[in-house]
Amino acid sequence: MNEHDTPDARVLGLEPEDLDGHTIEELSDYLEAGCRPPDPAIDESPGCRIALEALERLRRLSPELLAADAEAEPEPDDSWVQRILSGIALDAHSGRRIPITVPVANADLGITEGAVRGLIRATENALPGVLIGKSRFDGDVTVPGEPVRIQLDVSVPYGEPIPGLVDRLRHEIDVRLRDHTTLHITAVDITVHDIRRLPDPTEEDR
Amino acid sequence: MTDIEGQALAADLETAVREVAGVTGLFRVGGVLSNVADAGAEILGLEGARPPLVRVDTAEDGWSVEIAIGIDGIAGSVETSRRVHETIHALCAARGIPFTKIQVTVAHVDESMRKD
Repeated sequence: MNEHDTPDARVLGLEPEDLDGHTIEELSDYLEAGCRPPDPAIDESPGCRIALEALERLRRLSPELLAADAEAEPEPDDSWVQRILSGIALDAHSGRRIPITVPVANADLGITEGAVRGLIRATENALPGVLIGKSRFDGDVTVPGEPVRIQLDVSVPYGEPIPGLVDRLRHEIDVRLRDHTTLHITAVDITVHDIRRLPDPTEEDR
Repeated sequence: MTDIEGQALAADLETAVREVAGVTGLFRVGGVLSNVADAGAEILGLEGARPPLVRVDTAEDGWSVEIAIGIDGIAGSVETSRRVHETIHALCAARGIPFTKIQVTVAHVDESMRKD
């Protein structure tokens, strides 16, 4: 597979059921239209909601990144976009049901794997310029107490010391996972795949 | 309990769960096929036939309740799903409805309200 291929459903590993019959392209168009007129089939689908939120964050950031790419490189490299979109598609899939264990009789509580991936991706809000590609759970998340290791691919902005950025990202993820799951997380492994050059905000005319 | 009573219970549960702090919405329980069927019913103008978002089923020794919720990221899935469970349990108990299972699944977390 050529990494410069235009992202499509096949490349993204996206099946119709991942987005309740919708495509990433349709969701992108819907977002572009300001989510108007409201489409209940999209708004009431958790997979579509997860994908829409991630696409919105990507849309806010990508013009700056692409502009910086155009200045820094002879040919824009869209492979990072493809990796991010691939991760978004994976998030949209509800995946396994992860049990939430609480000391309450007859309580069968859980959270979908897709929802957990979505909230991990939402740490992008706390770290401007950071984009999360794919996240992977190593370990059986369906078994309470089972050790689980999380692996993330990320793209980071140029100029930020990576060790500090990765520590902050790991902290944000840890906070969210404690609030939303009872997973026994043993480690969060973060691999920086891209360093993106962002425009200097002091040079921008606002 | 008849199917009609079951549907009425599901509708009441839906209303009660929407009131739980931290819940932002409900999602349909079930796979793509049932969702497609619902969409088809809407296209055909059969919106009245659209089933409640809460699934209430009969079991051998009682009823089972399944629900998929969206939550506010600040509220936390652990606490919010526990409160939803308590709400369903209390409503069923108040009506003397025996149940065998109450399954609550968080399907979406809205992180947009979190201030970092």
